[in-house]
Amino acid sequence: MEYELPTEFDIIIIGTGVIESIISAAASRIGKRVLHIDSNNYYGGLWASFNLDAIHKLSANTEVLDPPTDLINPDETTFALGNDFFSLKNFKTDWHIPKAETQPENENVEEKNETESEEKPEKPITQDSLIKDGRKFNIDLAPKLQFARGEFVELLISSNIARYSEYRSVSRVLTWLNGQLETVPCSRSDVFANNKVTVIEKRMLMKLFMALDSGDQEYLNYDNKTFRAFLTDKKLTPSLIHYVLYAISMSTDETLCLQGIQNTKRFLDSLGRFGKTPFLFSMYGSGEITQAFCRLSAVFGGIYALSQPLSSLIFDNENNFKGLICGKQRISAEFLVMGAEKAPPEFIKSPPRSFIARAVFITDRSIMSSEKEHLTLLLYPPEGGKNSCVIIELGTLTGTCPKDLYLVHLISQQVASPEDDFKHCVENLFSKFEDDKKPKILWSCFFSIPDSNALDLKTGVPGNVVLCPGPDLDLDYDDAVKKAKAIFSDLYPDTEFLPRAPDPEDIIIEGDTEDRNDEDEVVLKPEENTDKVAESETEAKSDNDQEVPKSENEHEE
Amino acid sequence: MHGRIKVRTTEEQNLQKHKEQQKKLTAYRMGMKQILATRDADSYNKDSLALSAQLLTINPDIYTLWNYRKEVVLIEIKKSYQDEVADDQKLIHFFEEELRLTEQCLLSNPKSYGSWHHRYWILNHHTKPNWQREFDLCNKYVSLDDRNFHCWDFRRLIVNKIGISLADEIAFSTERININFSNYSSWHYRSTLQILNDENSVANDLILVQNAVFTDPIDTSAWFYLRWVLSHPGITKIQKEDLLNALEQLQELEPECKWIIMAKCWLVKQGNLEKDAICRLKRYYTELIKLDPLREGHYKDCFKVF
Repeated sequence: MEYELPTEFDIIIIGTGVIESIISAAASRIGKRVLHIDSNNYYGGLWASFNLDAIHKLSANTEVLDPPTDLINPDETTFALGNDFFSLKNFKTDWHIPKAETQPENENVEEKNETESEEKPEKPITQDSLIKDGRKFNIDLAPKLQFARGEFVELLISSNIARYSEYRSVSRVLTWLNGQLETVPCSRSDVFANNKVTVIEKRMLMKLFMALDSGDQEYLNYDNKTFRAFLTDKKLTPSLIHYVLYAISMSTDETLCLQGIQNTKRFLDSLGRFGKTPFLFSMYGSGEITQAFCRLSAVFGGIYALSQPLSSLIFDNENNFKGLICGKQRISAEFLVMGAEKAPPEFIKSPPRSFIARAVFITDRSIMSSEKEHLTLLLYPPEGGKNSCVIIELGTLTGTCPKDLYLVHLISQQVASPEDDFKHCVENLFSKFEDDKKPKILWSCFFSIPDSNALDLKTGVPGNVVLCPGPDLDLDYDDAVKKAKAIFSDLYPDTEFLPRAPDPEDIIIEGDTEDRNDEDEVVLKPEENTDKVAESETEAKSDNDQEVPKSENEHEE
Repeated sequence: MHGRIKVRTTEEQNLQKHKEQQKKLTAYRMGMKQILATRDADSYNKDSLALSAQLLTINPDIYTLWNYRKEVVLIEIKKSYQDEVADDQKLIHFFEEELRLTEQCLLSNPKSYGSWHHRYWILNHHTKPNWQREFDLCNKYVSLDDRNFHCWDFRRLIVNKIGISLADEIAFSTERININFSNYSSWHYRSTLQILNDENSVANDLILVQNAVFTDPIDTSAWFYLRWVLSHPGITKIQKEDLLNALEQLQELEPECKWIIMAKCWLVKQGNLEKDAICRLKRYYTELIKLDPLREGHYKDCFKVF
């Protein structure tokens, strides 16, 4: 179907990653004419999420198209879009279960009649059965959790984008301590109820939390010392140090005191707002987040087009961006923003040298079994030369996998290769065979994401062009938001970043006659309070979990 | 110009609010007048009943209207007995309507005496009350605000009415404590459940309350419960010594907390007073007077007994 896009915009954005999408929403919101396009047939780019079928079809890249020469003026130069520096590396997927059921039907029936056990004999899970449910999976390339009082959630609320997405609370935070999985006591009631911590340790932990909360300044003496040293001097026991250092502040032995304290405060500040843990997870996967921003952009007039045949960029002889060639059209704009992976290779002066190691598993039970389904964050400490790993375990209530299965994401700063870097986690937490206690990995996927965040993406790039970095190692989107804000204020200084729309109660539409009396005045129906992040979804599913001010963990924690 | 959007100024907002309030006031006055005019011993006016529901939803504290509704309910009950047809569907439907109204009112004000009392009154007259649903309602409101004494009282009333298993209630109580132990209501409820009837539960509760006081020594509700537990005759000497040692450790961490010392006093005072117990008590009370000079008189009195 041939259709034509308009050929002139204020800003063109190529790529639908998170940073690009935030900028798109912000520009559209202040009235700029935005064209937001992608050569992919899906939203999200390197931050997208895929069902089980689509993830097997992820191909490494795209053909370079030749631009029709009649669109280019003689004194202009072109650069072909797309480079190989930032695409996923070492991508591999494996099945660990048989393809199809090997036993014929009637044998099963006989067994059922014979067994006297209470449990029905379970049908073995096969590749075919998972593929059949393939659409129920939403596998993120770059899964993230959101701090309940973090910059990102505040942005969602202040810009009203919150109503475009739904969230669930992370219901427990675990760590690996002394060869076992342990729950991290984060809130006061956790500390109280935890029976692995002695009463004196409970007191110490609470004292530390309260001291940090009250802005106790004694850590100023620890300017060049590590957070670990600070905690040791506070006479915390080794277990407590493990909980605070590796889990709550997500630091390492080398992290400096001030940073460690800031990390701890970040964690503690977000407690109790939406749940017992500080974290939220976007329902249906983190890929939904880019779409929420794109939705706002479209609401304010942004034009969206996926699957576009983007070929090259046109520059004039003063090296200013002039136009984009998309299919047979030449589209111009004042500014061009694009994801780093879409940029012409000539613009990438320093290729990525560090990588984010990733693994995704489909498993048959939780790493720590419990009565109800949990959304688990496991903070695995650094071990044997490997970096700390963030492990997120999602159940069916998150909308990312079918019933009775779990989706597990592992994220770490790459040392050698994803398989190598996660080997110890896999050995300790999972089994490849039938093991009553540990979950079995039914399907695994490993890949590396080149980390574009510490790179210089400005040098050698023309003045009206901006490159956006891709996924980073931060657990939340704070860094991404900061970068998007910085890029936005460079492009449009002195403008507001995603301001909130006025409350409908205060809006009156003036009609033709000015002297109407009150009864005839048209007043828009007041909207519900959109201040809360839209997990009224989670509120409705409430079970017997209690609430602290707002909505706490609902239903399954 | 046609169709422009204008945002109200604060002054305009205030004026608008005042107008709305006046409207409400007029509506209220008219409503009350009408309802009271139609009161009758043998029958009732359906419009008035509906009107009373509207007014109560806005303001559940109009006792008069709740009582008016009670009168109506009694009339309905009488009518139902007089109707020989043994079909109480209509009556039940009527009761359910009342319950629904109270629920609506509780949503807007969970602390209204009128709503809770009306609900309980209806349940008492209800021919087929669903007590499980009442429990669930209680749970919901306790979750929303665990200090809502109306809700706790309501729970006690229901428990007495239907008699529920002790184990269940103990489990409920433990759960509430786990969620938030800074709550006199939860601890008090626990103490009314008569759970300290064997050594095991005494030991368990001792551990539970110890966890609480260590996690947060400033929270007084847990100390009160500890005192109650310690007053149980079944506390063994070993338990007392262990607790005393733990409290000594806690005191090192929290030298400013008077409750720790008071707890030590409770422990030492009980049972046989060995010779050095009196010396200890003297020391403790002296410390207490230093920490809490406003209660000096009280501490001196406590010590006089010895």
